[in-house]
This record gives sequence, structure tokens and C-alpha cells, in this order.
Amino acid sequence: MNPSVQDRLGSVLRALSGVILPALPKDAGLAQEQAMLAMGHIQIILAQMDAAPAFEEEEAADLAAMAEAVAPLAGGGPATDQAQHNLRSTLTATVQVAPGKRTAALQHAIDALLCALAVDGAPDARAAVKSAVLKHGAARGDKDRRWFAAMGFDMDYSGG
Amino acid sequence: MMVERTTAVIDTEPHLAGLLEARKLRRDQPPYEPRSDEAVAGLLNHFFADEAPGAEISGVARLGGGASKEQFCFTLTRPGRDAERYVLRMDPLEGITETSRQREYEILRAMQGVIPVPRPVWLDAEGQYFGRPAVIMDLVPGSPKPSSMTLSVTGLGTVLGDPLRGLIRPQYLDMLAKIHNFDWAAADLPSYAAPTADPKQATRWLINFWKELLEQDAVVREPVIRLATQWLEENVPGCEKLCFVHGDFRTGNYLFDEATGQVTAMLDWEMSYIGDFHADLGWLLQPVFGTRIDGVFRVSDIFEGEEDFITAYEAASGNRVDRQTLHYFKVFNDWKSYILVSALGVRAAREQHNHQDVLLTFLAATGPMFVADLARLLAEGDAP
Repeated sequence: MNPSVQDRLGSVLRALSGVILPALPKDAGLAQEQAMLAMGHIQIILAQMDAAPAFEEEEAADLAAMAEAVAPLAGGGPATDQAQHNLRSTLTATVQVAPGKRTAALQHAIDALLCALAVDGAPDARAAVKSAVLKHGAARGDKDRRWFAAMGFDMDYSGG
Repeated sequence: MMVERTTAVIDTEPHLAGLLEARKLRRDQPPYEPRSDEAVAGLLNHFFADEAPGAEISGVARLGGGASKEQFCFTLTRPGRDAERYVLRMDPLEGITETSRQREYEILRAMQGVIPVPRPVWLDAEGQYFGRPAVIMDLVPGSPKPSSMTLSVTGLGTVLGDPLRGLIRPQYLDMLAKIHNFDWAAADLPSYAAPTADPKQATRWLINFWKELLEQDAVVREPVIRLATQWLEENVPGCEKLCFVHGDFRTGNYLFDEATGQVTAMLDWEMSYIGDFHADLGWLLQPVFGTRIDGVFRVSDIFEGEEDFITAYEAASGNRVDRQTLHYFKVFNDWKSYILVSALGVRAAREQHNHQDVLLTFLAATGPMFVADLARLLAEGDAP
């Protein structure tokens, strides 16, 4: 039987915690700190591994939902029209694309639309797009915070 | 056909504009190799052969902590003098910040006798001896956290607890007030520029500097960050009083004697500049730099909530806190924090241009906190 990724990472973790970290000199502060961070990373990766594909799918779906929400709201001059058209095209063209690539493509297209709106967007359209981006961005941000809660930084989600 | 590229000089402090251009040239360099203690000893011997002939170097040891510079302590024994301990701070190729060792040297020198800071002694501004820019300063006794805390990434979440909170509180306020009321115009700070062209120049320079870093290093195009950039550019507040701004003032960035609670040194001046004091307030008020224990949020683990801090700060400094300007700098500091951890930090790790890649990717997990907070703040509008 082939060793699973979990088994392999688990063994790396045991080597770091049981052998490598104790063997480091007491005054090797940076090496100790980095060994502990490496252990922390591996523990969290192990906890996230099974859910990672679904997390990336949901991230791409959330970006698509943001794009679908903002595309009809945009309006203005030629730069905005072009960016709006590109965003709609990206939405269609990336349906079958891997989640990570779809997320990146949609982020670029939304970013371009926001820049175009600043150039020649109608004020009402710009305000509506901003509101939609913030609404979707806040919801997405909360999901990302939960995803990284185990890192221990976030007092709202890490139990700090 | 060759297309001639033109490079627009960023409208920011001239010294910082130079840094922004210089960093582009380092992007294509091979992975950075962290220096060994032995290699650093060799560099120090070479440096002091010119600076202090006859001196001996010993006890070179890497220091932990921090997220931006390579740091080593060492002992220098000069003929006829007692052995002295120093700290060497060197730039890696890239890091979570883009700062100047020359400015760090200048401000530490200028702050001698104003508040407790390390004494800067030598500067290798261009990396002539150390390969990268470096500064050498006195090793100051003290700790950034209580000894009961085991691992604290760059001071985040530091719990001082009692009685340290009460002991450090007046010193914290006194240091911040003295920094903001520091007479920078009379100080010898040749690499700092005073933004006196108009009341908005200080913050405009600040935004331009960080926006350029974002443009150079962004690994994703986060829509909320774009909105924040636009909002910051369109709502630059005037600055009524140009102050000296520390840039990273918070618990975790000062040393103290654990037995007495006496602060021995304020550290990490590398992001300092002349501008609006509200920037420091918006920075230290960020939740990530405080603690929440039993439902009580403490700013820097010292002040029980924002109002406690603001009231105490106004009394200590004599500066009046403008709530709308503070709101602006809360947005700015979430945006700046995102740029630090999610752009510069991740880019440096991807390029293998730092000695702490594992820390940089760990810190990047704070990025969503800043995005979520920005979405909330921007939805509030232009004023609190």
C-alpha cells in the first residue's frame, strides 16, 4: 500500500516535534521558532486537506456570484463598457476552468471593472457596484477568516 | 521593434522613491541564502578591520523574533576597552517591509535622550561590507514579552497581564506622546523629507508609496483592496500638524524589564516618517495588535477598549483626535497590513528572497482579517 499524504505529513510532523526541535541548541532562537512554525503549518494543513478542494470550489463560486451581481450594475463610458463586457466574457469562459484559475481570472476582471468605473463610470453605477462588492467581499472574507482560524491570530474566530 | 519603457518616478518621499526603484532590480535575483553565524563573523571581521583596527569579534549568534531583518548579536572587544555587545540588523533581498537602514540609523540617533531607544553605532547604508544594507546598534537588555509566553509571532497577541499592564501604560503613553511631539524640524534627519507643499501631501505620499508596493508585489487582485485603494486616494485628509510618526508602535515592539516593568527600548522604527499622528493611532488600535480575554478587548493588552486609549492619549500628548481622520487611518492601516502580509510577505516567500519564508506564509493567514475589516469600514462610508 502506498503511504497516504496524511501519513507522510504526519511522519514529518513527528520528526520535527520529537527529534529535530529537541536537538536544536537552546540558544538557536530563530531555528526553534521556524521549526515550531513548520509544525504549526503541517498540523493545520493536515486538518484542512480533505476540505481544501471544496474550499477552492466555493471560493470560485463566490467570486462568480460577485461578478454576476456587479456586471449588470456597471454603466458609464467606453472604458466601463469594455470592462463590463470582459467580465461577462470571463464568467462564461471560465465555467469549466479549474477553481483556482477561475478565481484568479474573475478577480482580474472585477479589478479591471473597478478601475474602469473610476475612469468613466456613472456615479450611481459606481456606488451600486461598490456596495455589491463590499457585501460579497465581507461574506467571503468571513469564510476565509474561518478557514485560517486555526492559525490563532483572529480573536473573533480563533477563540482568543 | 523595441518598445522603450519609461519609468515614472513615484510621487512620494524622494528617499523612499529610490527604494521603490531599487527593489525592482532585485526581483530576478536567485534565492536568498540565510547567513550562517560563521559567515556573519567573517563579515564583521572585515568591517571592523576598517572601522576599529585591532578589535576582536566573538559570540556571534542569530536572534529570533521579527519578521523583516536578519539579526545577529555579537561581542566586540576593542584594544583597551571592555567587551561590548551589539546587534547587527541586515536586509534580506526582500521582506514583509521595504525600508531603509539609513533612516533607521538617523532616527535612532535623533531619538537619543528623547525616549529609550538603542544607540546606533555603525551604518553600512549601501551594503558595501555586508552585501546588503546593515546597521549596528547597542544590544539593549529587556524582553518584548513576558517569559511565560512561549511563541509569539512578531509580538502578535502578546499578553502582558497584571501588574505589567499598569506599569507599562504610562510609559507607553509618554513614549507615543514624545514621538508625536518630537521637533523633527530641528533634528538631523537628512533622508527624511518634510511634506510641506500642501496639507494633503503627507498622506498622499504615504498612499503612493504603499500603492506602488502593492502594484509591484500583488499576487492576487482582491476587489475589496482595489476599492480601498480608490477610497484612500479620493478621501485624503488634510494634516493640521505634521508630526513624527513611528509607523509600527504597539506592544511587541518595545523591550521591558520584566521584574520592574521599566521600558528599556522602543524598537522597529523602520516604517517611520513625517506625517499625520492619526496613522499611529489607527495602527495600534487594530484588533490584531491587541488581546481579548474574558470578553475584554485591550489595545496593546493595556487599554480597556478604544475610548480608554484615546482619552489617555489626548491627555498625554495634547493632540486632539479627529474621529473622521482616525476612521481614514483605520482604513489605511488595514490596507497597509494587507499589503505587508498578503503582497510583500507572500511575494518574498514565493521568490525565496527571505530567510523566514515559513513565517511569512504563516502571517499571510491574517490577510482575510484585513479584507473583512476593510469591507466593514468602507461600508460605513466616509465618516464614522
